[in-house]
Amino acid sequence: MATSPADIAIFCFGNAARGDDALGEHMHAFLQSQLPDSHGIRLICDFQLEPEHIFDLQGARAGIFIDAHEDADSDVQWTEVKAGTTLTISSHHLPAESLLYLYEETFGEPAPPCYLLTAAGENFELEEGLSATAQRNLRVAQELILEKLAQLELAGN
Amino acid sequence: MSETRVVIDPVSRVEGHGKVTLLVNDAGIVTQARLHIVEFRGFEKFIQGRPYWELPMVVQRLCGICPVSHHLVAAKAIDQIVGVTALSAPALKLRRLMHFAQVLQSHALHFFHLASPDLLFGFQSPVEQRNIVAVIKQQPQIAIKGVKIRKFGQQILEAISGKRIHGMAAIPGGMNAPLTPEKIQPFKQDVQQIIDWCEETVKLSRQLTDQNRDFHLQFGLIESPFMGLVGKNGELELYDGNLRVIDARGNILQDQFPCDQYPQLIQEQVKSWSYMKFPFLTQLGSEQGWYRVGPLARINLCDFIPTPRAEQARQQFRQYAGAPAHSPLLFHWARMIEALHCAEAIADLLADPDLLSTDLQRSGIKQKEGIGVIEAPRGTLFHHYQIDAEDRVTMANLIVSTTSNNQAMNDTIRKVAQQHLDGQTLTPELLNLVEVAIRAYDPCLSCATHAVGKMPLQLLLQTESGNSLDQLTRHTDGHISR
Repeated sequence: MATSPADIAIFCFGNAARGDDALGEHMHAFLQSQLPDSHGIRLICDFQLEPEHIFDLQGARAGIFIDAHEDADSDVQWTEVKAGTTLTISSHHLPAESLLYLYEETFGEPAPPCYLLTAAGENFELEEGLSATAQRNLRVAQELILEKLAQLELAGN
Repeated sequence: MSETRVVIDPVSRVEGHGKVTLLVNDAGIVTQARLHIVEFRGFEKFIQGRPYWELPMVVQRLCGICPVSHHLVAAKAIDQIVGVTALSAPALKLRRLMHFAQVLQSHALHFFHLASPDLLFGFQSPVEQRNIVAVIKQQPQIAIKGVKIRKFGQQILEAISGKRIHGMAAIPGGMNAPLTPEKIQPFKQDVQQIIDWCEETVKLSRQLTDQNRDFHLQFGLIESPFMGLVGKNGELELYDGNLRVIDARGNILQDQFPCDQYPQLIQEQVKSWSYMKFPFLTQLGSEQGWYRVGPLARINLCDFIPTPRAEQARQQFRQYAGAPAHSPLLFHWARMIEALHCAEAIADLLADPDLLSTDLQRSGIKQKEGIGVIEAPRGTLFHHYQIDAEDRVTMANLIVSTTSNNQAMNDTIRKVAQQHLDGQTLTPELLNLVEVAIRAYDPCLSCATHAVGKMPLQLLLQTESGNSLDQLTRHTDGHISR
């Protein structure tokens, strides 16, 4: 049941009914429009990170997790993610660090290099539409992801 | 006698975010437990005003944990609004396949990743040793089977709906598209393995119960009526059927109760301290009429399971645990019996050529009201809609499974706290056991949002009048502050 290998696996998360939590879905739609099918990119959109996503990461040269965050001091963040040393898991909230830990323990091999891109939101109530803050940060995140993908692709050639 | 509130917040490894308040009197006896769930507010309002045909799509966003259950139950309600009383056989089979896959993947995730650490390593063991990493290290075959069973269910859902989330599968009066032989073939290859793994896990559930039998059967023990759907012959039924209610002794109180008359069967009570309602059986009243739903309820109240290996497991369960079984920890065993049933039912459906048929939609004379009822992984789920002349929703009433188990969870926590709280001092051990009790019900606290930094954890101690005595916060990076 393993998925086919991809150069870069990108996981976008969020719920469009929860205000700025939709940032991940917006990034997914953006990437779909920007990246041709043959680009060697595996795009995954889901409500949240779940244990079975280790299969989507398996065989990839790199992984990118895209999510909203709630941090007024930081608009958009790009950080490298390492496998955690402890695992936080619920079927609602599996941090990227925990997914990588699960990956390494399950497959017995190091996870590929992974990165977390988050954009700040301010409203996560049950309603549709992005706040002005989230819309502004979405645009920044869109530019940043294309820049980072170009760097990763160059590094892979 | 005055009461002090001991607050435990949140409940880790439960869907979403919860908080528990224990009310203790001067003698240190727990008089009441309150599980606070704040995220159900606004669902009905979110739906009102929308055109009815959007609902099967829109309601998927209410919950990131069981979107398929909401999708299918809304579709059942909308079938009625478009005047369809019976789906075509192929459409019904596709919906049932979706539903079995959803229940299978949900049960697998809960058992293998949320419950198995408790069951395998003991409820009193330290939290740092009682998590899925320990399972992976010590029982790697169990962990990997859990992930693969869940993946199997998820892939079936994706094959039917075309997408992982927000797929367009059920439509008013039917289904959007059939499967193809190419899509079905990989599942046919894997399904026997999935059945075998589920059956092994049922046996493991019994073994783990037997290893600590007294604890399992007495932990948080409460007795209650049970409610759920059954088929016309009394069989376990997850997608359709009518309602059955049994009392705490197992006597049938209601049988083949029509789903569209549910407002006569149950009422909902509001309490000032909770956003979540407290449903109760009308005939027993608000004090005595609370009930339980979900895997344990369904296994307790059905007459048989219509797949052979799950039926054999049900009979062994009843022989071991009694009929009806009441211990909350038995939910875990019952959950895996249902997973086995789902896997068997999926195998049967995958062999059915109707899955390839394009006879997928029916039509009828439009109605102003629709009521859908389904057995979601966590229990009976109701969607009730009324529409106006412009086809917009004017009334929506949703009773989710976790709401039906609301009072039962509170009473179970109270019982556990009575058994294990020493004075007015919270201990990590008590916190563990409260979490174990809640987790048995697999509640969906349904925040459906998970953004980084959104889930700080708090532990509060308050007087009855609301004065804070102590507070601990566990942050998402794991550090704790006072």
